[in-house]
Amino acid sequence: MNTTTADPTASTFAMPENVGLTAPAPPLEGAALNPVPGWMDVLREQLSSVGLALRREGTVVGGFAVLFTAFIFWMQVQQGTGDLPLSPAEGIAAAMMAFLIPMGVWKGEDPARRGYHHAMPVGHGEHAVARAAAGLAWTLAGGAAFFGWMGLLSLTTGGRVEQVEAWQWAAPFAGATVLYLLGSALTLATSRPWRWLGFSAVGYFFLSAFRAIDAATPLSDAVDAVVTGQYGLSTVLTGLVESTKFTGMKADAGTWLTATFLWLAAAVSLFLWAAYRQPER
Amino acid sequence: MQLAIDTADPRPIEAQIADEVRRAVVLGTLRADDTLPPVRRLAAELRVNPGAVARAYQALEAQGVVQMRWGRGPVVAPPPASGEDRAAMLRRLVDRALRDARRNGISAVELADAIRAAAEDVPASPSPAPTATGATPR
Amino acid sequence: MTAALPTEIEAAALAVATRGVAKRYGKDFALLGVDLQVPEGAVYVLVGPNGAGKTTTLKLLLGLVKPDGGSVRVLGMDPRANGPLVRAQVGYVPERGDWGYAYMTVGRLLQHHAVYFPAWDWEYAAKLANAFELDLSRTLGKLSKGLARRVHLLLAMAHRPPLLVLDEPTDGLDPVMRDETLGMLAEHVADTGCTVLICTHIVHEVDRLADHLGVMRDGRLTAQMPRETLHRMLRRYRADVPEGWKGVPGLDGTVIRRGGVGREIQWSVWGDEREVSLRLTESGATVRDAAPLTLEDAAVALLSRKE
Repeated sequence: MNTTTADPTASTFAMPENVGLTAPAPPLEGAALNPVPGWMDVLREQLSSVGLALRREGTVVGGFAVLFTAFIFWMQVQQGTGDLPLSPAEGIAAAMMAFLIPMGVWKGEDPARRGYHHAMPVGHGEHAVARAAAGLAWTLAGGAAFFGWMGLLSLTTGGRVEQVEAWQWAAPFAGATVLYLLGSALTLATSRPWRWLGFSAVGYFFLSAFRAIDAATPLSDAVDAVVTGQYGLSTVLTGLVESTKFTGMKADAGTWLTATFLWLAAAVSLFLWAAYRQPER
Repeated sequence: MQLAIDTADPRPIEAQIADEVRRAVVLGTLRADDTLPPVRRLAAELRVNPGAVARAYQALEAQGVVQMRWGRGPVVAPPPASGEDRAAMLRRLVDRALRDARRNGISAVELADAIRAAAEDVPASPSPAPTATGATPR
Repeated sequence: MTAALPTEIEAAALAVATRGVAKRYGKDFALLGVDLQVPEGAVYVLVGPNGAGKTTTLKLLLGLVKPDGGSVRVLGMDPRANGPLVRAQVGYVPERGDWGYAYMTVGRLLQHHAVYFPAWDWEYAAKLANAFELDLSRTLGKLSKGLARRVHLLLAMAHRPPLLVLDEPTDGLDPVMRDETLGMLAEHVADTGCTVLICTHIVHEVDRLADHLGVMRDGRLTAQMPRETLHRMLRRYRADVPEGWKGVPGLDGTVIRRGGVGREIQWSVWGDEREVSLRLTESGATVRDAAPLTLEDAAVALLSRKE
């Protein structure tokens, strides 16, 4: 009887379509494993998909920016100066929104449902960093676009630029970065960031209220120092632009740099802690 | 190629596949030199574990019912292999009937008598065409 | 004396091997020492009631949760130490319905997934999309449960992973699509020789495909074996018993399930067929039949067995 059977060990042999027997699966030690994705590919893909995710938020923010500028315009006109000089201070409110952007980046994916993201063949912590980095890139790009827009507005009203130090232009971006990282840490660490946000806001409100009625406590003093103190968050955000305007003196770059450095270090640490925390579902 | 596979059947899947192929050969639906579908296609069509199909084909090859040909896969073997198979198929049919009978408390003798009686009741039906082997049904 | 159901599988190479894996959530133990063994190239069906620990076990295999004890090896690697590499070898369909990004279109999600799994085969993906009747332009968040499930299956299969881990893969699919899915799965297994681990409640559907069965209850794997062993050792005996029949004390531990009508008993018994038949006959019963069980009946019998 003339029988020919496919030799299962002939690995380079291309089997014709309709051979009856399939070769048994090659032993896994010998077989090549499927590769993991490369770093650049992951970053690029996150940039693209996070951009997609933020589209809706982007339009909301854009709409807000338009309203905001209309308001500023109106204010300036009211005060009679009639012009709208371009100033870093304009970016402050926008930069504060950077705190909320991570919730759009991690949209619908609290720890209980971040399953798909974490099921990817990338380390958990590294993947969170990649995604957050993509979101930060979009945030800063949004900030740059915002200043571009304000610049255009300023051009239409005389084209004056506020006299500030070169480094003070970096302030809103630095502030946005710090706030973005803090927001990311919050979003990554808890399943209900809005709840924690609510608690903190309420707490801060009460502390300010106590201070207002002269019932200051060490806690409210501490919070004050952190937020509005010399090395406070507001220093980072504003770049001391307002103080320059009022006192007429040059703002102290050293103070700002120190504050920024401290806040960046704290924000990055918190973020990395939240990113590398092993999520359990 | 649609084969009747029944999960409630006591025979394992590979046995059912092999039996169905043999049945087709005996009845003449599959003729010598016909090609059987490749393992992956039959497995997909029947929603069956490919390993079972492969084992069925191997068993059929070992029994000489099919031969593996390069570039074509399993090919139905020419007679006389199929001729012998008719007796095996008959035997399997009888075994199934006996098992059923036993389950219902009927002895082999009772069964044989009942078959003869039933066969006489059936109006004369045309006898099946002789198979390619030339063997005529009794 | 209870029958010792097999809990060890002899195989040359195991795609999945866990040893004494335990997992605790707070004070509750989800898993109490699980020794799951899935041979390479097998189609292993894992059955058990909700809350038995099946989903937790699958998540352990992907390195998504950390075991509180014991060891896990997937394709020889530790999913915690080697998470990315292990996950790159696995096609995972989770139990939950929301998987992927709801704001993306199906096509965009495929592109996303393809970046993460460089072994992605676009031709095969197209063929699967066709078979599953997927419209690539639709937004994922707006899909019905059944359509979404098919997307998940496509994601898992298109990069031809050596291991498929499917948690209720046909959940939400209409009967025609379930049938189609099984066909694609059978073809996929034949083409790639991959290992498949399926958790499902619809056992009869995978009867033809499965060649191994594992039964899980209360955080423990009470039995696992190849189909061939199940087919050989677990039989439903139909026997007529006389008046005043006292039963078969020697078989007590091995009787998985008792039933019957009037003076006919229908017992599912674990053991060598000849021996069991002999014992039954010796006790005065007349054995009429000793048929193997369908996968579903076997699973039900093994699951409802009282320890």
